[in-house]
Amino acid sequence: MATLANERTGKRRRGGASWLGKVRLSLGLKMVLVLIFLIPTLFPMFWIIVSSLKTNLETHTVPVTFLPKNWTLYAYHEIFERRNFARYMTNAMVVSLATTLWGVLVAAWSGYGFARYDFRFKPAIMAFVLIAQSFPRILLVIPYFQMANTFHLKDTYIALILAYSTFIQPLCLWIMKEYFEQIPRELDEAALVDGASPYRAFWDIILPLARPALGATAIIGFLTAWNEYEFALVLTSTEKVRTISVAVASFIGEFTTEWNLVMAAAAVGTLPVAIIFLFFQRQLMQGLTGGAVKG
Amino acid sequence: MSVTGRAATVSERTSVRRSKPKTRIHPFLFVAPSVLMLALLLVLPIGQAFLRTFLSDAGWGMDNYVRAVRDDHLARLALRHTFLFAFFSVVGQYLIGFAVALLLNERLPFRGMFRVLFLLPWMFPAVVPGITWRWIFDGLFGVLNEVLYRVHYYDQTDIPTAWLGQTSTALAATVVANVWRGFPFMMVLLLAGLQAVNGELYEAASVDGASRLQRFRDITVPAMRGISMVAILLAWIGSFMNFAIVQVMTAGGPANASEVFATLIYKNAFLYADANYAATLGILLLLLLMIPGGLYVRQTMRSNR
Repeated sequence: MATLANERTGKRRRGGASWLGKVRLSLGLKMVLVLIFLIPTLFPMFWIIVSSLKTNLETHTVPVTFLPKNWTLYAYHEIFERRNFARYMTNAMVVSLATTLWGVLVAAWSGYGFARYDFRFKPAIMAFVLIAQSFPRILLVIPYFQMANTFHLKDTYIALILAYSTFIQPLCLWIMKEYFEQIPRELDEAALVDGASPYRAFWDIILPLARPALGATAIIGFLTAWNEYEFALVLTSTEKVRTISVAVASFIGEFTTEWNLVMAAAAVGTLPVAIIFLFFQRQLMQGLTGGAVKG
Repeated sequence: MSVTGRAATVSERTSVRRSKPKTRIHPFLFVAPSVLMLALLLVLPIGQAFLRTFLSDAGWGMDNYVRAVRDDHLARLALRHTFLFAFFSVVGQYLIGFAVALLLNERLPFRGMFRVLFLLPWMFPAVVPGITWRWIFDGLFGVLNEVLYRVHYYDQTDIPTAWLGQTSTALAATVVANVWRGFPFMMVLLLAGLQAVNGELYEAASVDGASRLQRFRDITVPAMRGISMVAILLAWIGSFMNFAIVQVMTAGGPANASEVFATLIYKNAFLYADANYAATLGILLLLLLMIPGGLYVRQTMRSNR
């Protein structure tokens, strides 16, 4: 998060010196190398789009065509009209937004505490927060599945929101804590000396300064929640609250698969995160590298 | 909870003004919601899962662990596959990520655009890379086989390979999908690391007549050690417990040829309805992640000081 603060306060570094130094690779060679890596990186995305615009017959025809012979939006029409895709999108949206809002709220409040105070067990708690972000979810789904059954929470938003909070909460907490640590302590100290309570200092002085971090945290949280698969797979059995991840995967049939539908589902399911990604890629990249690089 | 350090000096100052030092409660009130959530949502369920690992048809005891370690040849197979999957994923992600990071650290037209394009695979929902690569690898109508025909890797009479349908290539195919999804994150971290290297070091070295290979070896490589370690550990942890890609591409098949720990746990819990044994495998997975996890925590906490 260091860079998040840097961006606000001043210049950003113009990229480090080249390790190739004065010996220059010709520009052409560099571009060729970039393309060698870029083409396989982009090809699967191209293939999703192309396949989704084919007819079912054409996806099951050899030789495989690299562009559709008959361009059609049939697959998109089909997933919304007959496969209830709007429902899955809404579900994913509700669960991701609720989890993220809740996560950012708690993270802003508690992150400030972790950034400003020292107390017993703090290093242990922080280590736990760090681990919890990439905890093996496949282990966690087992007790969550049973609890959902016990408390009749299967196929409810609340079960998914609680389950998603297991990784969204620590993720948001960590990012917010990192950000608060970038804000000079003198600011809240001045308020405290003036007789404000720590809560006032937090609410009136620190939180307004942290607004960009709240946004970045929310974006990262939302993306992470939207992309989840394990919990959604295990905690939903009907389309009532099923999210797009599960829906996309469930389009794959045992014997025949309508690949144009699957690919259309993949494209539509990715669209919201793609939009967020393209609009906020700078903040995202800074949020991602935060903590790992302290330059 | 004791308040120490600079916060304490502040509280002393304010307590003079207020005469009643209530400050000790503040850190607690700030931190409590988060700690409470983590305890309820994570510690409790993990504890529950851990307890049940000691429960089997034979009653309480270590039976599940004995079964997992001694009797279950599938668990051993899955362990092997998990290591292979994680190892080749990390190697692939790191090498490609580093190569792309080095390229994008050069002066290039459209560098910003390239950076965004290379990061694209990272944003996909976990299941999408799996199904997309499953479609690409499809034996009958997959585009990979079509390309191999066109470049005359196959003769017209050859039967195309069912990459996901044969035991010898299924696991490797899942690694390809995982490398595709994972290398962009590696690239971002390594690029940030490269850009943090002090440019004057390179200048000084070239003044002293160091060749470009020497500069790479003596400046870039040591400077990238810390960030590389974090990136590799994160990639290892993520790959080691990966579920979505393998589940969606092969579900562990054919004939368990791509069975990894996560898919085996899922099978035991939800297909064989043996949640106690599945939880046992889950705890073993957690144990296997403790060393990389501990190293990652240590590295991150240290750079946080």
